[in-house]
Amino acid sequence: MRVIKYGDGWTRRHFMKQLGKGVAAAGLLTPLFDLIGRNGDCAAAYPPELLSIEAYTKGKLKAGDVLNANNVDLVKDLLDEVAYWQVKSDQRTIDLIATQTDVTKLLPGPYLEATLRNKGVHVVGADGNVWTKDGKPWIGGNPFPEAKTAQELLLQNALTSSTLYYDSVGYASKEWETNPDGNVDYVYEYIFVGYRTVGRTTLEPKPYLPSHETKLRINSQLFTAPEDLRGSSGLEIWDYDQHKLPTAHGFSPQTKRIRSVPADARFETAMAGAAWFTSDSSAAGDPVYTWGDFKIVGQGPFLAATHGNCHFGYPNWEVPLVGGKSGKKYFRTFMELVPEGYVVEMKPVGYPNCPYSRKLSWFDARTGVAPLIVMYDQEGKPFHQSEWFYDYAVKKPGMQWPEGMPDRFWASYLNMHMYDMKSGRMSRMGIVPRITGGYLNSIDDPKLYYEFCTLNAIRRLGR
Amino acid sequence: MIHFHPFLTRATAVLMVLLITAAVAFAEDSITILGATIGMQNVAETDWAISTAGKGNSFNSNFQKCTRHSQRGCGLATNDNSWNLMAYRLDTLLSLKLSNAQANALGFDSVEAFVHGRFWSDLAPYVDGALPAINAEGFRQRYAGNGWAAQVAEHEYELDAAEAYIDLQRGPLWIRLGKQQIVYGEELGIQTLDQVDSLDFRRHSLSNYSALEFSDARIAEWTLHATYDASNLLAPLYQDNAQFSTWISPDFQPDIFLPGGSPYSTSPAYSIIENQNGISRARHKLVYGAVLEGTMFDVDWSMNFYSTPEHIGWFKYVGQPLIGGAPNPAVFPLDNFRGAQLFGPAGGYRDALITREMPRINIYGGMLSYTIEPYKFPGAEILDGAQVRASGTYTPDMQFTGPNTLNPASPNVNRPTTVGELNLALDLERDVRWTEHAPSAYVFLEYNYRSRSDLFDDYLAQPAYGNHHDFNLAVIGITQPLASNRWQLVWVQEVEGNAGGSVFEQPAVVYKPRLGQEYRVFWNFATGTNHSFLGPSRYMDEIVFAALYRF
Repeated sequence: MRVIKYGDGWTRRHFMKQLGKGVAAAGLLTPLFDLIGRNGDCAAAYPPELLSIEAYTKGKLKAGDVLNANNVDLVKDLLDEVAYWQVKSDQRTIDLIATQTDVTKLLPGPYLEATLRNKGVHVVGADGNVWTKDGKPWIGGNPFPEAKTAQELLLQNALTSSTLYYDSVGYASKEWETNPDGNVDYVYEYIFVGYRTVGRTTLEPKPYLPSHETKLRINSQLFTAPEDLRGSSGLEIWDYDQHKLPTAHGFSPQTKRIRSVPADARFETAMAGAAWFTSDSSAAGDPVYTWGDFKIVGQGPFLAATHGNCHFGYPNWEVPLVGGKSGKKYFRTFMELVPEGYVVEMKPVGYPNCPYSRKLSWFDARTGVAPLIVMYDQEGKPFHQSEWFYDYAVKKPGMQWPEGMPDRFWASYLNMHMYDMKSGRMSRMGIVPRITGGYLNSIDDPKLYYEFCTLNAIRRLGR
Repeated sequence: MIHFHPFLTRATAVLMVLLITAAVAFAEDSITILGATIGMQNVAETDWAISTAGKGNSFNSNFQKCTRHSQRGCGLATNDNSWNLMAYRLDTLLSLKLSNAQANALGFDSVEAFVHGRFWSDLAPYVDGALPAINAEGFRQRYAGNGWAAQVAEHEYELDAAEAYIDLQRGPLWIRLGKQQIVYGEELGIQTLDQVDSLDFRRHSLSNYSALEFSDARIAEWTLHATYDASNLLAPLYQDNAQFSTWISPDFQPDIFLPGGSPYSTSPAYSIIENQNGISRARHKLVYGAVLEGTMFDVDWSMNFYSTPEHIGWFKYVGQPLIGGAPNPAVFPLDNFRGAQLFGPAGGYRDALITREMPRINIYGGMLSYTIEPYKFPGAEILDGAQVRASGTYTPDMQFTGPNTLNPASPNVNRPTTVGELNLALDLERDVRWTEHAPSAYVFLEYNYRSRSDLFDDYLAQPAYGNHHDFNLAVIGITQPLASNRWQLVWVQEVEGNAGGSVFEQPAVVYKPRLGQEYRVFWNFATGTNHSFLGPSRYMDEIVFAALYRF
């Protein structure tokens, strides 16, 4: 056991001091990114009380314990208020696991390598977008691994999050919509595809798809069930400029054709019974500058499902359920003590009659990943919450391993909670081995472009 | 007075209770066999339409007062009907997707097949004594070669393969081969660029819930359709999403009409449209076309060309209407059942046998569409994010049923009016968030101008249509979802200016209480005269209750 060198309150004072300056600076004992560049391990950057839930709670909780209504008050300051309410008042339980200090297991390898390789190359331009020092678009990896400001944190999230940290992803997903008791009312199946046109680190040509440098990515989504949505598909082409909304095209089985559609409905529920809005999908779920008043409003450790949540070992990848009156409302999730994080506040300056007054995003300082987002209504009360559950997946005997995937990889999307505090409705979603129609999961597959990411593709896939 | 058939009503009520109370079933929709995935999804639907018109359809009673079916010329009258429709349908979607390895072995990136089977039955004539028991589904629709329609249609039901095709994709090339709808254009509820497929007016397809548009009405034809995605190829020319598509179909199918005696008929009962001759001449004619489309400087554009026999065609008598000044009995046979006194009381009750010609037309068109960028446009709040779209086609040498084409005494009888037609659509759509407490409403405004005819190709420059020379239609649609999108409130209004003007309204409520269930209630309401475009729909005013169960 390591000796605690820093007494009670030292870390708290450190974080308060940093917050007072209004800037981020990762690593308490030594600069975090230098350490990651050296051996990929972040342990030396933090005192023991930030690397172990046992040390943090002075032995009252430890890895392997289950957080429940009786003990959640011990870590109330590590949880967002929605997760705290879920555990305290809605019978949710959370399994605690040890903190992962090996950062190579918290991000995809090519992304982390590009981050290290391209350190110091990127700047925020006069137009607010990310450019290399010679004025070219982003060339891959986290452009601001040592982010100092809320703006930098949001920009790196905007570049990376919707292709989920790979050059391309195809995630075959199922989504369960529950009522407040946790009983499922609706189930949807779809494949979500993200394809990067800049910042490419794996797919040729790289770092840019020629003549697509003014674009950031293409996102596509195809529904395969239930029958009324089967064949509905959408294509969003994101501009590199973070002031512009994406262009959107959709194929509907009702009209049997592709139509360009307005993309400014960011705060609507797309499917019946869903508990989330388009804007909720990530910290920068919308173009960054459609929001504003960016601030770092919190700094310190927090609990998040940043690893330990691979569900390939469960039969048919069905994650056990807990909580709610039904006992089946929440995924059973595994959370670790994230040693250092930033809470970024943003306000919807570009959306009239927005139901949100602000959005808070929790960023993991080790990776730049934002596993937790909470949106507040106009009265300042928590409204929506999004939680992402991650893991470094390693093939083991008995697992139903995803077809065509490498034997070990960082899964940028496994499962999610999207919760509506006002209605009590929950959207649970996650990848499954195969969805109706036979679509599978894939990472960095060049064929995803013509298969899903063109107008031609969504017309073909439409039914 | 509503005439409920006790057994059918009871059976349907039991079925509804079972659907509403049924446990949510999460059945697997697909299975994997030898690496290929086979899927099946079904939807069962009831559509009950209760007439609120308060008057019988005058077209079915030949514009005379009918008190009973045995009255001369009233055999197809639908006066005092309570039901317009008591339909039951089942749609089955079958799919097959080869595994990636199997597709690659065949030289493709993906191979998929899809079949949509459809069964439809209307029992309204059997529960409502005011409705004549006509062969609404199969009446005189048969003609040489219509076996390719993959359809069986009888008095009570219709069974067909709505679509059946295979998709082959390799890189940017995609080929679809089989019975398929070919749909281009982005206008809604009207047909400017959406003019490749003919329409089937049966199955309540044009009076249905407005959001379904023409999807159930379009007749899928056996077609080879190829599309090449040139988005990477043409990207250096500042073109995004560039695509080139072309298709050819040897399987022309004409528009299919409802016969007299249907509550939705808009042709007088005495007129009998003989499809056989005209369609036989149109058979073996190819339908082909090409579309080039893309996006340049944020403007979506397309250039369209279609070549097809006319879908409705122009109408003429099946022979010389008059012989020596007297009605030709081969054209105007005596018929006390459904006939009318076309030649005065002394001429007796007669039918008029009509056929149609479907000459080839070439349609040239295109579209421009632009999304107004937020925050840049003056007065941004009003138009921020709005989609503005202009579509247009020109059809030279379109042939219409002219003012004298069906005038037996005219020297121009049985001759069409030939003239070019311009068809333009301008639409604007956007999401409007009225308040922070409710989701955005989808608002749609559309204007359609046609230089010669209305949406049913009725040539307007003649007394029967008020001697108008063009057609102007405005459409407004609003869809307001409520929280969680389980309820939707919908309102659609169409306004047209000819012959004193006419209006059609459809307010609707849609509810999806849980997985697999959907309920719709909507009211079709129209005003206008028989000569206006929407006025005849006033005989079909109705409240429709639809229940859908997906499994």
